[in-house]
Amino acid sequence: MSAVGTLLVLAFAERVDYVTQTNPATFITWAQLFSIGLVLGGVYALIALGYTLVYGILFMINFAHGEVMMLGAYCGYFAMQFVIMDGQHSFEDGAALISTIILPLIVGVVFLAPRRAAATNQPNESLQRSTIRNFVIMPGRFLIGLLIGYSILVALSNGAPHMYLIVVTTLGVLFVVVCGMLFSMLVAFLLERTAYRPLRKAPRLVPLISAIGASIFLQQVALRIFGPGRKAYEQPQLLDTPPNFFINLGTLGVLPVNKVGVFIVILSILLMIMLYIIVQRTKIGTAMRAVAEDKDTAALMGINVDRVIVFTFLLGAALAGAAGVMLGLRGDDLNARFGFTPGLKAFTAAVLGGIGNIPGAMFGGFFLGIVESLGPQMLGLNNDWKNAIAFSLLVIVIIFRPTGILGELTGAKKV
Amino acid sequence: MSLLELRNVHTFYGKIHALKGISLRVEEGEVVTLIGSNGAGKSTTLKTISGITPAAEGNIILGKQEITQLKPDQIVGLGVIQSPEGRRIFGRLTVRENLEMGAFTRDDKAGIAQDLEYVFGLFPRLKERENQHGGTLSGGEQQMLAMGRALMAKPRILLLDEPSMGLAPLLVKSIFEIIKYLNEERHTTILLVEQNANVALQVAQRGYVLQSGHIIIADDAEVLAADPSIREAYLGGH
Repeated sequence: MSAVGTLLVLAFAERVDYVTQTNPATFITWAQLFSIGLVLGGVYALIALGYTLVYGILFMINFAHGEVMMLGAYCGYFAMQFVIMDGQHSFEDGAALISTIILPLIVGVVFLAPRRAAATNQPNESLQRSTIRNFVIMPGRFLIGLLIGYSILVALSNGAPHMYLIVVTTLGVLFVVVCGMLFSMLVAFLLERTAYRPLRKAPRLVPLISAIGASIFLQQVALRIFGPGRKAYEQPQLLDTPPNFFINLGTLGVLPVNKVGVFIVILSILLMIMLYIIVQRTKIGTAMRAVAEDKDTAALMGINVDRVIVFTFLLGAALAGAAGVMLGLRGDDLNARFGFTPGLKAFTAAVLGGIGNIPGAMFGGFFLGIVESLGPQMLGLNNDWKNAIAFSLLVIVIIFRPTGILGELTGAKKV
Repeated sequence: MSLLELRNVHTFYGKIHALKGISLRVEEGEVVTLIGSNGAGKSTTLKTISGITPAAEGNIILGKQEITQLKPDQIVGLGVIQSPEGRRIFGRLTVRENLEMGAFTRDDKAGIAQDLEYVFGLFPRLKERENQHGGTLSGGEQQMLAMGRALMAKPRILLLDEPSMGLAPLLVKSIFEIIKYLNEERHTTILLVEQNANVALQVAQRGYVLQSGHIIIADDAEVLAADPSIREAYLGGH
């Protein structure tokens, strides 16, 4: 097997060498392709994390994960329609309207937080004082927060219109992203209850079939409800305007940078950092890792294993929902089969990185996105070859490292 | 009233009838041991109490509460804590995280911190290895961690499954000294399953002898240790 792999690698190297000699691309071309790959990679990584989280805990491939992503993207589309009131006004106006509700609420909740911490330090306070606290001071603080949030908005809109536009657009887009995440979580929650939990004790192949069935079911439901037509996200002005901005690299040329791309990469990295903190630093995250290792012993620690499994599904679905909205923002057209290819690619990325391994999924996602983007150019092929290149990469990696690039043997031992 | 009582408990593993009507009780503050050969049903008894392999028939009563039908995490929440056979350390969690998982059902941060210090005092080796992965510990250290993890749950009753398994004689001795200390100084009630009946009967006040899913003898530990037939069957004739 590895002889075949070595031959393949040599053939690729030969071809890359030939292409770069005969038809050299400029640095800017490479940089552009790389940045496209980075954006795609961020999306793949987010989806791949969902596969890997569920596999890590249940040793099952959730083949309906792509559809969870697709439904999140649809929900994002409807959230977007809600923001623009079905086209009655521009995204910016709608976002401004929504921001006047969201921003004060956020600031209000932030103002509540220190109150709560203080309250836990005083367990013995009298009933009367706690009544005052609960009915006077807490709402008071919240109201002050609301007012401050609102005045920030007013001040910005009058004093710094560009800043105001940025704040409002960010909040509007985040609103759409959060809607997509929440809906994906709802879908995953129902999926786990109906399609996977009843089969928890069944042989390993059974939930796999159930997952494929769920995938087809969700696709068909989406097709019936949303229709066969393609839907596209309304593009926020700030992220959209085609020339975007340019980075002057001196003698190397001028690199055009896609703002949506920057937004996607930053948001995906932020979400991955949040995931990492949840898994590594919180009690529920430690419980997840304990359940992944040994369910019976985790139960003996008092961990509700079912609840941890649901939490894992929700975590993966939230990332998938965000990824779906990102694809929509990037300009991809939505349809019922929208989840299939990214889902398959992300699954490939998860296997590349080592399925069950969280940093592996992150790495695999970016790696696959970049290879897919650079590959056709490197091999001097048409861009339509990108899928063939992506899956060939999977084959080659699996030949040399069956557990994936960052995969550990522990995963294989458990199978 | 006993702290823990089993009344005519039956458990099945698929079609295998593993426990065929076990009745036993553990009083507050006691160390009670279950001895018997391989496959007699000792570990199954503990798993049944913890709800991992639920009883098909019979009752398990903790204080006044029936716990037969409860789920494992609910049983742990009531203070029935098991340190399972083979230690079952979380190999990819650090020593500290393993101990924190032991305290999973608790919310009292101050109490948890205090108990963490207590466990580290009991097993200074664990303190040295606090941030190491559980899987990198030696067998003896893993056993200490398993016991420490169980203690972090503040057990009302501690179920210990084969704490001496696979350990060198010197380590067995120190583990049993700790069991004794827990019972005498910390007033922890313990139900101890052991194949090494010799040591088990030294720390226990009472014992039950299991044979193919039945309890065949129940008596004071001293009586059992002196019984020639038991000596022959389980104590290696010493």
